[in-house]
Amino acid sequence: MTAAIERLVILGGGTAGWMTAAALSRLLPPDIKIRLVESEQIGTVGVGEATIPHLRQFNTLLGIDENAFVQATGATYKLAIEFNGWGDAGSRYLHPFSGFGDDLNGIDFHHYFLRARKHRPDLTLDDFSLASWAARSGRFGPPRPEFPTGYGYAFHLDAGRYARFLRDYAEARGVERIEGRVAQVEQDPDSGHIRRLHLESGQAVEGQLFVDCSGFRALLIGDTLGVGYQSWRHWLPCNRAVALGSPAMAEPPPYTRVTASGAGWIWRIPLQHRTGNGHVYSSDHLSDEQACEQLRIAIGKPAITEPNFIRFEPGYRARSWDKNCVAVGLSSGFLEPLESTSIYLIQMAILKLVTYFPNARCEGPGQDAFNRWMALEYGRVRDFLILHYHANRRPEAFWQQCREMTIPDELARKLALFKEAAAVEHYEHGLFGLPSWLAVYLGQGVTPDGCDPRVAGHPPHKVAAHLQGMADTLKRCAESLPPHAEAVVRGVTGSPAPAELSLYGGRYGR
Amino acid sequence: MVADTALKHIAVVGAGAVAHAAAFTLARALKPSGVEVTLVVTPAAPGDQQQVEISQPALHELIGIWGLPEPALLKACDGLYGLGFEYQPLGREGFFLPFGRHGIDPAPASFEQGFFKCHPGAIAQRYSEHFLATQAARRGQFDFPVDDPRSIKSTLRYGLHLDHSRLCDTLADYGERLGLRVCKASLDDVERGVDERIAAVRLGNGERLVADFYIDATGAESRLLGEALDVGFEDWEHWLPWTVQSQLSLPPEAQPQPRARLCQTDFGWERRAGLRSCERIDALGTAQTDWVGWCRAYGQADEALRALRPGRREVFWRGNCLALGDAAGSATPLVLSELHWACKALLLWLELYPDKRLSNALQGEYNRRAGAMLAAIRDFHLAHRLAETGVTLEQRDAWPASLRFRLSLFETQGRLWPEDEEAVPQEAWIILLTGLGVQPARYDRLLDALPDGQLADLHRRIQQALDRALATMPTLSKVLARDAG
Repeated sequence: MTAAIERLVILGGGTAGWMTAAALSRLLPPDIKIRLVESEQIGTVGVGEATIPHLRQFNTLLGIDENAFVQATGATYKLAIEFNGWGDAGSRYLHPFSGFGDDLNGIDFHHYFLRARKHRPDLTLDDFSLASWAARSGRFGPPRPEFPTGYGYAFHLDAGRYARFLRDYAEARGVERIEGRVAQVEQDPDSGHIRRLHLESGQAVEGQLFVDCSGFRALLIGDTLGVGYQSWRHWLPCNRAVALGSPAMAEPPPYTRVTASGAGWIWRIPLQHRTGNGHVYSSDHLSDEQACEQLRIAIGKPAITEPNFIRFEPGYRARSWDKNCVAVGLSSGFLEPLESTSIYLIQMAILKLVTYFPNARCEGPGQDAFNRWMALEYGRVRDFLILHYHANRRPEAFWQQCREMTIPDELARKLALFKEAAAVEHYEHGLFGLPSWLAVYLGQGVTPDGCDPRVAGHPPHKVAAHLQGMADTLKRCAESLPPHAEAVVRGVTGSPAPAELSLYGGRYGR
Repeated sequence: MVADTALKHIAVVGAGAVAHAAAFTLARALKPSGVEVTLVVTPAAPGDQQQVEISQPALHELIGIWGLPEPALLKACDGLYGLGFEYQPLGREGFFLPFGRHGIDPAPASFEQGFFKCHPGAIAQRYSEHFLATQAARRGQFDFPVDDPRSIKSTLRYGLHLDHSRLCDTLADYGERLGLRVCKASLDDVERGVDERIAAVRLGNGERLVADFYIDATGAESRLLGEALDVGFEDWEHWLPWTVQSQLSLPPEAQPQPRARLCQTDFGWERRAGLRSCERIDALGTAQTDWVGWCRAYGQADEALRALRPGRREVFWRGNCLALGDAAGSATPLVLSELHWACKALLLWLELYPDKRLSNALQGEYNRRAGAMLAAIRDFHLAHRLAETGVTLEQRDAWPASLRFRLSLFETQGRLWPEDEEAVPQEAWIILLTGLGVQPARYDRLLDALPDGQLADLHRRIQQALDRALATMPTLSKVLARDAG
């Protein structure tokens, strides 16, 4: 039997680095020595301040108290993402962390919704999501057993503070932090495996497994091992972002807002101590100055930070685990934070690394399994993001181009299925299930030709009357929740909601 | 009220349980939508007479749609409740493959990992011991699952042993009361219309039956989809060599037993499952098998043989025709039956349910997902060949990539790759593979951090909980008697 790994080195101390260090110190056997090399001189990107409910599973796995975490990271709660101006300039919809409505007679709810809209065009999907009602009314509380549906929730957090929080956690569990910059990477001349990181200080850090959390620079997986990067810019046209902080909102809403701009989109993420804002855009259509100016106008208040410009290339590395190096975070790929997936992708890479944790030889089916899994994760997020760009009726050249671009076959197939038969393609693994696809399809004006023929037999006004009752119930439930600001201050009490790897609180469709 | 574009008439054609189950399910599920269903019962082949259904728990989903009281259905079909399969491979220790899941949370590693660590020579046996179903089946005990996750009985799942002919008669009977039109006639001809659609079926009684949609449940002949619509066939015989099935009936065991048995033979596999009035034995082998000798060994004259055709049609749904069961494809009925595969596929079709426009995208989605379902069953059955001493690594290299990857990951890492469609729970894969001699090279290292004896303690506590549940669990005979009362 090949020897077990005894020494593991993480390069980079941003969100990815410290999430990795914290999780591995908890989930790997204690006899594995974990060291993390970072430099205070290198800034972190710190995007991914908005999260999805899966982060609660990560925190739970680490035994982190949720209220302590919320206070330490200046977090607020998040029930949805609001999309403004996608589809057309006037469209406004939520992508909530919950399902929509109740299935009836074994037929998906949305068929009834589509039928009811023949009589009540004013009905929106959001009327049938408890998370949406709570988000719109600025309320928050964890789901209660007496509610007719479950929902998930996530956080807006200060990524820098989260990294700091996890650093304390990891160091308390024996992770050794080494300050310094890498001068040279030493490889085994035969196998090409990484042996040591030589730091500028002269120190050499030896390891059997290296986790590359060096961000866009991809120092190990890219520079050293030369693993290729696959660009998806032809489908995801934005390649720049500028971030600006503004003062905290008096009443922070429990949702992220993303607003389409002329050549990209603008985010707003409310934290306890400030508001994160940013503009993601295409450098072919907008200069950095224009992008920053548009962002300032959108914020409408003086910024409290200097603009932070970020350049990126959307895409990923098909082999994010190569030889004895595993890329986690931006070194493994970059997908814009439109659906708040950055921290999720870090989390899944860590969980899969633990599942397929290698022995000292590092290569084999476990490595293949890891790479396959991450390819699946990236691919499914990618297609969902492309849909947001593709399904629009906006007049600007940028958006026209998105509308006319050739999309991946898998996405074309999904779109055809929805348009022809109002059906959402099913898959078991990876992000985004039926409710998510539905929210974006209908929110951005992708309208199917009809609905399930078993529902098409019911008179629309009767279906609408039934659905109205459903919406009223959900609204009442949402109104029984406390104001969001209050929940942030007081924390969540009582037994915690289950923290599952699910966007929808584990009970969607029911 | 019915929408203009809705299907109004569906015809189901076939002789066996798949046709009957499909017709009854459609009649029941689509009655509120005003859909008329006609079942054309074609003459059964001689080899189809004594078939026994050893159902998976998933059949309950269909029975739920049927709305029939389960005890009555079971009685009408001479049936028993089953908790799983008792395996007896050649030259290896036997093991039990229970339905259901163990329901034990990781502590800290996933439950099976402890057996990889502590019982490397007997993983399947020791792991399987921790399922309530395994121990109940050994003692002839049976109980129904409960919905309370705190109870160990919530881990139970059960299937049914049913007599096929009686199931057909029962469903036809109930069906007619529900408005299902049952028409016993041979299928003389299938008229093909434009656009790769079926225009009508001509029956032996002279009737020309026209429907909006046709369900082909004609078995491996695939008379509608395969023959009339000319959909090609991909042969899997090189993977699944069992192309002949023979079946016998023996007197019942002294006490009814809630399990089926699967014994490896020198030619293939022999399956035994109890009914109330008899025990059914069937065997899966090849054309070279000495079938006369096999029957004689049980003191019986040789029975008609049934041909199996492992493989799949290129598509299962084309135009206005959906093939179900063997008509769509077969991974042989080794563990997961034709009816099981047909039911899963039918439920998928009902989920996607088309109107007269017969959306191509909908067909594509169905064919994609149903294809993955059948591939998952194929892989699970094919893995049984690991029991054969003659299977070489070279042969394994020719197995489907999905199964090879699963095996290599399990052998090296002790992990199971999750597919979008799975035929059986992870637990079943773990028991089958380890029971047939696949040894994971490692276990989760988190277990090394546990204090000595902690795993043994956990296993002991589970055993105690099982003992408590077993102490009050009735025998299968008692449950059947109670059903009757």
